Amino acid sequence: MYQSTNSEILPEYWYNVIPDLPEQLSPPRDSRQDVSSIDLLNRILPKKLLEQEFSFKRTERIPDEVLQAYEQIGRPTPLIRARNLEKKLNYSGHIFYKYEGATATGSHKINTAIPQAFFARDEGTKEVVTETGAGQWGTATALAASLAGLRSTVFMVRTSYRQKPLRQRIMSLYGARVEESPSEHTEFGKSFLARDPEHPGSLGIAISEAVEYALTNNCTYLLGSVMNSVVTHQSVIGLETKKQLEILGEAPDTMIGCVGGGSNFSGFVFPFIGTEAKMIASTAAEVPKFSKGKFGYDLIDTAGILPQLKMYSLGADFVPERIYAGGLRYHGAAPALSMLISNGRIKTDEVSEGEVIQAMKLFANTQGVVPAPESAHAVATLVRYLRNSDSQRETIVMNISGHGLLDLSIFDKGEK
Amino acid sequence: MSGRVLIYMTIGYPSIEEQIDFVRGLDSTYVTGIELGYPSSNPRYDGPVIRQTHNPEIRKDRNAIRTLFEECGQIVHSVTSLMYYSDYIQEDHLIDFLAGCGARDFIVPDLLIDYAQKTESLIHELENSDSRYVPFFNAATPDRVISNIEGRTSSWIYYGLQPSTGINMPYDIGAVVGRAIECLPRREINFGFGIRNREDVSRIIEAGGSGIAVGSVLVNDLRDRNFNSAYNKISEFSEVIKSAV
Repeated sequence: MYQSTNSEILPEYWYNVIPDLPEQLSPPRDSRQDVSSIDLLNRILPKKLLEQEFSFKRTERIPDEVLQAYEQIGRPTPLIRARNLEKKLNYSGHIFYKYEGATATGSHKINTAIPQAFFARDEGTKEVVTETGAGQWGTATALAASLAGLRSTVFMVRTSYRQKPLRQRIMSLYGARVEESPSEHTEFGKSFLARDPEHPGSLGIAISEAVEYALTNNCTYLLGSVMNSVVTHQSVIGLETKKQLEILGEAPDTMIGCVGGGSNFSGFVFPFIGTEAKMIASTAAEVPKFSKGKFGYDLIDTAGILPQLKMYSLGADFVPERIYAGGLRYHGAAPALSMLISNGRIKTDEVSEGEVIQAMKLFANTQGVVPAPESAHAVATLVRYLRNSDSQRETIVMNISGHGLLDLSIFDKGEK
Repeated sequence: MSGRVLIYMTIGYPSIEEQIDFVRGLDSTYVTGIELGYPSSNPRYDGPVIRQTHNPEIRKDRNAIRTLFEECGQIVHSVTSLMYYSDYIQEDHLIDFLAGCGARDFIVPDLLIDYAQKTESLIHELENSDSRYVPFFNAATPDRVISNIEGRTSSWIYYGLQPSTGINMPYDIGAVVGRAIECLPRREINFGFGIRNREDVSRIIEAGGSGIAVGSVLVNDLRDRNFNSAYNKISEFSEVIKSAV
């Protein structure tokens, strides 16, 4: 058993919400009739990850090596009372934020990249491949692969690739090969470039490229979000938050986080699912999956290689606006989260990029932390929530899923 | 009841006549139950192997279907019908027809997933036809759903080991079986989905499972009319169960 000085807060187990859901989660479905795309997962994902993907177990022991790595990259992350923000917003209740930006890679993504890379290494792979939108998942994969002694390749959505050169730098520093998506390295990427050489790319396309690359190069694909096993790993955020609040003698009345694929938000709130806490999932108005998307089976990736999941989706061929919060451009959301939104347990909010930029400034000026544009959606939703709420007494906890120090060019265009 | 071997066949694959020949050759000392799948227009929770055995055109030949049920009833005491709820709502009096053919137990794989709010009314309708609803659970079934359905039913339980038929995801058989028994300590639980060999069977029974259901593993034998191969697999599984029990 790994002995940690942080053992009071760092959990020994991940939490899997499946046994505690109100209804049965719809299983993945094959995208094609003749072959099983579910079976295909056996060829590209770590076996241990698949075991966790379809697990009924409420808790999953975190391997000692992963716990040790968690500590090395900055876990537990701080839970901070945002006193200056409370004052600025003239709020007499308590506002806390869980700060995932304090990890080595600056976001929550490392929480699942580490176990996945270690599982892949243990199963004999030499190289891992993945996609990235804003660059946070790619950065986490690059570091996790490096810690595991593996090579890594990252397909980065073109819009972000060009907007965020520093993200490429840091991934390269960790040893990753970073490719712009759509790319010439896969048949799927080539097909988009043939139609539009300046195609902006999308996360769905980048996923398809990474999966094709994994299949043709005999390497292991790592998952950044959406799938249940990833959400289970991210429960470390909520479990730590729970302990930290207990120590402070607090309990959340309302929890707010941002949603791209849904892993940081789900990992943050699911450990509280049995409580009375209100939960609000904040996402981009430019990617209105919860208000304009459909709740039904849809493809994870644009190419339809992976299975279909029952989730809120704008369609796998959805090409989002070039908003800066690349991590929120994904067309779908995690199935368990989608179910809980569908049945009303979790509420949603959609905020525009203009509001997000204001929220970044507000948070930076009050708390000194520049949140990632994705995470600033939670701040914008908090501001809206307080504006429309009669209560001045609540304890509100936000997840700031990452920092925005590599995203400062969002301010280049001046005020929006 | 312990040590059951149920075999699954989709009605009409490869043809009803050939299925009848196959059924007549089954040894009732090895097979304790037959599960007949009503051909679905959308067998979405089946894997690719079982999916290819569904041909909705077969539904038109009701006399032949009735004969197949009767032949199965000659071999085993219990004939179970598997029907998708999505087909049931498209076809009038389907339960009456299948119950009239001799089906007493009904498995409805999409009920708790896509039509959970219809569960009570379906159970009621089955009871009115002197039939029983056989709950179909798997690793994704939440504890409270299992508990609610357990309280409302009295039949045996079908527990799917894999997310889809014929799929082979990595999992710990002992842990899955153990969890099912822990949730349902007083019920007969038969395990299916993805059972491929005698080792799987042995582990299920040793972990406390009541029995097994096999389907995908027999499909190629049925397709190739290699009935002896299918009989051998069934007898092998049955012997493994008997020795484990």
